[in-house]
Amino acid sequence: MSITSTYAFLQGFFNGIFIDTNAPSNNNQFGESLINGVFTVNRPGGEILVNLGPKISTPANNNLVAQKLAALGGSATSSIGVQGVPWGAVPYFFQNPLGHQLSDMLIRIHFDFHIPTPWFCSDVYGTMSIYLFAFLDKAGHLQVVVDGTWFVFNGGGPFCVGAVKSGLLNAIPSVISSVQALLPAITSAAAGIKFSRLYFLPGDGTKATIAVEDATADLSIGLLL
Amino acid sequence: MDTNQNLLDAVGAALRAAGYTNVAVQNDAGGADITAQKDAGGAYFRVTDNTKTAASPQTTAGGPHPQTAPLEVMMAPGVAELHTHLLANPSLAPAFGFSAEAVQQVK
Repeated sequence: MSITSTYAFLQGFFNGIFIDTNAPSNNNQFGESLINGVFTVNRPGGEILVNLGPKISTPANNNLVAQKLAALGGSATSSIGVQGVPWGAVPYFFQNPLGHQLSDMLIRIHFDFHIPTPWFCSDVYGTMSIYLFAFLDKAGHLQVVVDGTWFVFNGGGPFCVGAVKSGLLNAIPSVISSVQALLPAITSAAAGIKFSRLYFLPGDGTKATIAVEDATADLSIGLLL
Repeated sequence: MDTNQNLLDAVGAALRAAGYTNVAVQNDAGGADITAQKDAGGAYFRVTDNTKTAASPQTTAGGPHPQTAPLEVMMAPGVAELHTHLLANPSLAPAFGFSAEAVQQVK
């Protein structure tokens, strides 16, 4: 059965809390619209749903994040979140504006961290983000690649900013390798299947009549044959 | 700050006595710094009322990850109407996480 899902974002597009209402539909064609910030998707009955949050924010992966931060003397202050982000809102957009279409959306994997510093510096609080690009290749197969990374932090002044920044930059290749190792788990449900369409749904892609979720914490991919 | 001012004066005098020049005091909301130079070297001293409020701007870094081969993209997830919406009304950009400059960049 087709479902029409309507997403009303309270804190920005694919950001923060949203209200999701779902209703049966007789229209078995995919469709989407964006009117006054309300995103509506008509989801045909054959949809294959890949909920990314539970595949990425696993206890093992959260432990891995904790280990990598411990190597920098820090700790995680959040679990791993997964979010959809329009290309134009990706922080490194200006480094290569034509890297994607403006309306393309990327997957943002993110976590918050705290790094204590010596007494003469303020402690560092920040967020690390790893951006993935999901797409259908020419054969219609789902592919996901690491698109880029970005971190932001506050604190570290007046003397520790450079050391913290260097430590994080040095850790990025290892973080990318770890994320690349996760990618087969993301695509395994769709491996070898030829699709004609893929799309993002905020949250877990529920078809419940009504739900309130956090688009910053979870994201799903819809796939159609 | 009288005690601190006395300390700054003493440090400045000590630096001059050690041959440092361009001894300068900079006051800010969190305390004060003294900087001084000697040949190719320098000295820095800071006094603050609170060690955990030392100001520093937000720090960011990162960028695209190079792909090992060109991506053969048939379809990417996106909201087709987003482009049209933003180009027609760039003031909507913040609601979508875009800066107005980002919209102008791809016009």
